[in-house]
Amino acid sequence: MTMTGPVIMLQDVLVALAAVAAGAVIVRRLLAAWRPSGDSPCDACALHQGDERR
Amino acid sequence: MVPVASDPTVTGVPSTPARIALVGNPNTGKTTIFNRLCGVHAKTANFPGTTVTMRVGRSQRADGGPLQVIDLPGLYHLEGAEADEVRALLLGDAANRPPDLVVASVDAANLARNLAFVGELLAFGIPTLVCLNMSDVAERRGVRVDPVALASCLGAPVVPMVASRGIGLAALRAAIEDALEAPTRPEPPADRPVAGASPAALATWADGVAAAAQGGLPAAPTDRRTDRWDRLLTHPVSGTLVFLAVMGGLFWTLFALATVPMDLIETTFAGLGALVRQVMPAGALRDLLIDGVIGGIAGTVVFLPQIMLLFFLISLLEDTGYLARAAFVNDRLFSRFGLPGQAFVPLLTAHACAVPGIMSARLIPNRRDRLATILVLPFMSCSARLPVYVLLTSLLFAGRPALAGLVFAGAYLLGAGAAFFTAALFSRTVLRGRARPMILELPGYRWPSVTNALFTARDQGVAFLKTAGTTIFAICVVMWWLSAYPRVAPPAGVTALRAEAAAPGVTAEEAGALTARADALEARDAQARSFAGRIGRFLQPVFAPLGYDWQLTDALLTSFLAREVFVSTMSVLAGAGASGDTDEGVLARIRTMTRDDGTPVFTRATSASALVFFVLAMQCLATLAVTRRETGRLRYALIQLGYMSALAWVAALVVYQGLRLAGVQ
Repeated sequence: MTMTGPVIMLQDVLVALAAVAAGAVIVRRLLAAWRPSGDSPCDACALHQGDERR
Repeated sequence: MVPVASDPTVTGVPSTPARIALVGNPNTGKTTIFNRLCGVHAKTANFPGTTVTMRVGRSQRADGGPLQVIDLPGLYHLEGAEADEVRALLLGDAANRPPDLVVASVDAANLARNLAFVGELLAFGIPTLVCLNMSDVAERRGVRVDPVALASCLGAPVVPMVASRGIGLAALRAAIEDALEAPTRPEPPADRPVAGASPAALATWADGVAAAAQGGLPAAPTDRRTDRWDRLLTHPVSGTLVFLAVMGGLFWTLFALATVPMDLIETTFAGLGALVRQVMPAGALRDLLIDGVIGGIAGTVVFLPQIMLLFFLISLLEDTGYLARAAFVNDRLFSRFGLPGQAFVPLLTAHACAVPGIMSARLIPNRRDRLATILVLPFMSCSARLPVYVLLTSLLFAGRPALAGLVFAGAYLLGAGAAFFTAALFSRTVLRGRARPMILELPGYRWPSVTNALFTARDQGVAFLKTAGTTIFAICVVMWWLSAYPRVAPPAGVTALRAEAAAPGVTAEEAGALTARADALEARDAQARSFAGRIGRFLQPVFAPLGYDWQLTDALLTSFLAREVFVSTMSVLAGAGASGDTDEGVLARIRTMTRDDGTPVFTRATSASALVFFVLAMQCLATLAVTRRETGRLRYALIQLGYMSALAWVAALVVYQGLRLAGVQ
């Protein structure tokens, strides 16, 4: 199966958007890591935690 | 009988679900009791506004109602700075209501020492149920405790137990239920200690109670077998040799046993990639899914078996009582290098993660000792380094688990060695002075609990996977995009090769070979001209003397966010750089990665150099932030970053150039 030009371009835009969103997540985590909010180890490390923040 | 509820300072405001807290001296089997009560329904957490890390679990009451069980850290006293937060939790404060009942786990074989802590609980008026654990060990040592006499002396219910075998669990549940259902307790005995009693007064009271509960026999007769083992395991020479043998054996087992599940995971993800390739049409989205998402996640998940196995084995070792002996052996070293004895706990914690390690350094009262510990602590091999070690040692010694295990253990020793070297250096320069000695209690030897070890392995595995869920996932997506864009026209050489393949008179076999060469050349060219290629190439001169190409440089940069990201970045770069539809496992793909000139990225010298770099480098923003906060100065975080980075660079340079000079490529 092959894709036509406009569909390919749309895909390029979609993956670029995904990359920007992922980049925003990383920046948010970086900022949170540099300014630890809580007093617990889990709050202090914003890079090594999932979405289950207390 | 006095109704407990009549004393609001004891119970606080009653509310649902009922909450009980497990407390006691270290090594009294609290966690085993916790696991028996809660099974798999547990998670690690912190109380709001505290640094006390504990496990919180769910259990069920007799009427089916919920029962919250809290496993608090082991303590010897309720007084003192380190116990402040636990005491506040047990008594309740503005942020937390107190538990409805405290279950104090007591080692029946060391009754007098354990009872001093129970005395403190009673002195504070905390509603307490005593769990007389390890009754079997006590009996083997000839210690017979009468629970009825003990309960009468304490004025609190006592339940004998062997938690490791589940003996007495039903009685414990019933006693908890009774205490919660009818919150009454016997009239406290007249000689019960008062709040704020001195340690000496508590010890005298505990000796008296223990003697009465044991029918006047001496507190704890010495165990000759334990003494014999201790002489061997804590001896300066034999203790050190056993320590090295145990650690070597641990890492060998890790490599030898984890191969099967790792292969299974690799095959599964490779199959998943192949499936997506079949069902999705070619395009950017398919590439993102296969190379970015599946490739990146596979590069992380593949190390899950080793991480879980490591924590399983460490938990078994801890349960036997050996780790305390290892601490004793290592303490001799500590003092020589200017580290305090109390640093053992933060340094051991740092093997999981440097952040809680640094925070637990608050236990060290002296500021100089605390600073020395915090500054050297990130040298300890944290669990985030594990996947990187596994990858690099696997690349160095594929199919030779004994050698890989040895180098793996060497990486841990190198980290610890660098920490001691740095501590010695700092104690003669920026942090002059001598450290204070440590007093450590050696628990009795006992059979380890496989259930406990399984729970620990599961907890660590889940914690590791959570990182794959967010930061690593995001980085995989960004790295894939950076290595796939901008789209560029194929170079002239590729066009020529394709034309040659399509020319008349070329056999199908020759055409296939030419097309494969063209694909490889095109993929390599596209990646080299991608954003990732440009960034890596821009910074590569810094790392070129260490033998790293732009791809390794990229992976080093991303691993500053979290070290384990190194592996997924390499995996994504390997996928994007692969020619054609290769569906090999992630390790095989990384092993066969090539530089722009077609030579392998990972030679022996490069792998060894990268391993040394990762052992020594300060690549964790979270650790730096916590160092800044805990020391109160940005200066110390910068010293840590500058010193560790410089040391890592120089050591990696020496290793790479040394191996090259020795003819190892």
